[in-house]
Amino acid sequence: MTMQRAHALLTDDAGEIDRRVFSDPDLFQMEMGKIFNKTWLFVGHESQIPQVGDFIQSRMGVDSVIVTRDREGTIRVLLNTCRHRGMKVCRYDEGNTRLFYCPYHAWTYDLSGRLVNLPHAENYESFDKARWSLKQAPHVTSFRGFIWATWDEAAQPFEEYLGDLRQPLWDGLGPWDGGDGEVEIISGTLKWIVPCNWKIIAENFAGDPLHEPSHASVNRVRLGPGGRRDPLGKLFLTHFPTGHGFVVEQFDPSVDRGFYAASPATAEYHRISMQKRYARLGERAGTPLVLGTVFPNAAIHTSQPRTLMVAHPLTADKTEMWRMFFVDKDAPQEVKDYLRRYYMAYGGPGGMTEQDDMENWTYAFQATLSDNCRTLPFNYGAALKMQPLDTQIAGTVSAELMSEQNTRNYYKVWAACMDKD
Amino acid sequence: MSESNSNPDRMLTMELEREIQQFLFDEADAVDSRQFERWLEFFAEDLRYWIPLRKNMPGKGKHPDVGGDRDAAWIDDDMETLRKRVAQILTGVHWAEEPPSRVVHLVTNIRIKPIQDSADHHVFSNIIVHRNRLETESDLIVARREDKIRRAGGLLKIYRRTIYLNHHTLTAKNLSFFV
Repeated sequence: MTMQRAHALLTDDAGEIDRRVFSDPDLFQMEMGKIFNKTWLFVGHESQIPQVGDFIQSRMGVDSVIVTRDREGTIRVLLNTCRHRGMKVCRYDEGNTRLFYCPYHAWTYDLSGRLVNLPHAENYESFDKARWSLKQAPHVTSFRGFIWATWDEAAQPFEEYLGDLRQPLWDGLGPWDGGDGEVEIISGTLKWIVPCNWKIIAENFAGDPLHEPSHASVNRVRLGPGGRRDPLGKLFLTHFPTGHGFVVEQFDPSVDRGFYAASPATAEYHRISMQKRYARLGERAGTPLVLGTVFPNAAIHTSQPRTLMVAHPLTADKTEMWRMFFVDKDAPQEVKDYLRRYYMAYGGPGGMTEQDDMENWTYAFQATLSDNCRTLPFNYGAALKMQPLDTQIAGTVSAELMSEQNTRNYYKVWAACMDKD
Repeated sequence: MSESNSNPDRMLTMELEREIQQFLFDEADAVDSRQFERWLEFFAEDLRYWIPLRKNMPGKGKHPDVGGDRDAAWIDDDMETLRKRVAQILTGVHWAEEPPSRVVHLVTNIRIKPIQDSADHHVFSNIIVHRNRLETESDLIVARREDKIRRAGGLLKIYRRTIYLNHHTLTAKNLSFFV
């Protein structure tokens, strides 16, 4: 294996990408160590664990983890495997507890992952319980309530990892009115398995406006006046040196756009919130993020709908998608109800937009498996030589919307992670 | 998922029992034979077509293993959204169902209970739904189902359908077909 193995699979400045990137089991194994054990990963939201003792079961890459709020109120991310024989110590999706009890040999851990009890302790010679805690993510951070963790002791702080994406993402994950309030996850995470490589899903959300034909049918039957949503302003692609890629919208924030006309209560709440947002954020309110991928596998729609997806890798050819929806915590119940139903009609396996994505990803992926197909690289060449646009929008902005600059950047960062010692 | 709405005082005639069973079989036939416009006629305008999530929760105590009324769900449609789903399939460019999937519903274990203080009926059934698409892609969905049915203008109509999937993490890549 050469040091530049992954880079060698990208040619013409990532304008062409070898299909093995998506299906080689050895590369997948490498990804688990070099990407999923190194980068920041999304694991949950504070609204899912508001009280001391609350926990949810989550995932980091192929691993099950428990996200807890311990006695001190600190959020912990614990690898869900007993230190004795490996059994899962938590098999519930969520709950409130003091202890995680292993059903195999009864080793028992507290909310911080400390081993607090094991049967027949006297039969172990000079047993040091502190050495046998659950493995814990060394760095956990809450970014506006959204919880991220990394296994890498030496990882850069999360906000540095975001770089110039920090401010727009901060604005995008808060309430509509641009204030200091909170959003909350609508209880319940949709979890389903898609037979394709995780990166095909992650890149789709990183800014691939060329995949609009996927959504021809939902745009025709209309979930909103603009097709599957309300009409958007001018769109731009922007990407960041750590691999994140987003779609940004630009519009005049002083003008009411009449969104959510199908629900008068929602329309009114949105209109008033947007006025406050403009008063608070000024012109920044006119260039919000629409959607994008935080490298490597968390995709966030920040405006309409508001939803977060994680593409959890299972094997090179199988991915577990998780999707959750969020709303302003202080929105009227009627508004929350309307948005919940709109979001679900849009996304998830039953979503009229997302259904067609899964069809395309599944059968595109199938054609990465044969030697014959692997002689043909995938093409990421749209707007390859275009110079970046000089603008106030954060990141490197494409002068052309129908560009594959974000996905090219995604795979260049992917290769850099993979080729790093 | 309990059947506590039953009212032992009201007798269910064999004739009505048969009519409701036949109604459910006809409904399944309409959707499986892709007569979607006819299928929509089986539902009332105030429909809620709801497929909640299932959760792994402690078996002891009061921990519902079904997503709540205001939680995220697989599907939570009113009549307008259900019509849009049908319209989407009929566009011919709904790639998840083009070419069309083959779908078969098996509807079994039907129990019918009159709903107290009303002329409506609560109908419980178990379903197996098989989808095959393109060549070998196949999904099997198993669920318990609860329908609320009323008679309007002489016709039976489903006004509330709840489908409790037996699945936690869905192994079907999407739900572009009607469960």
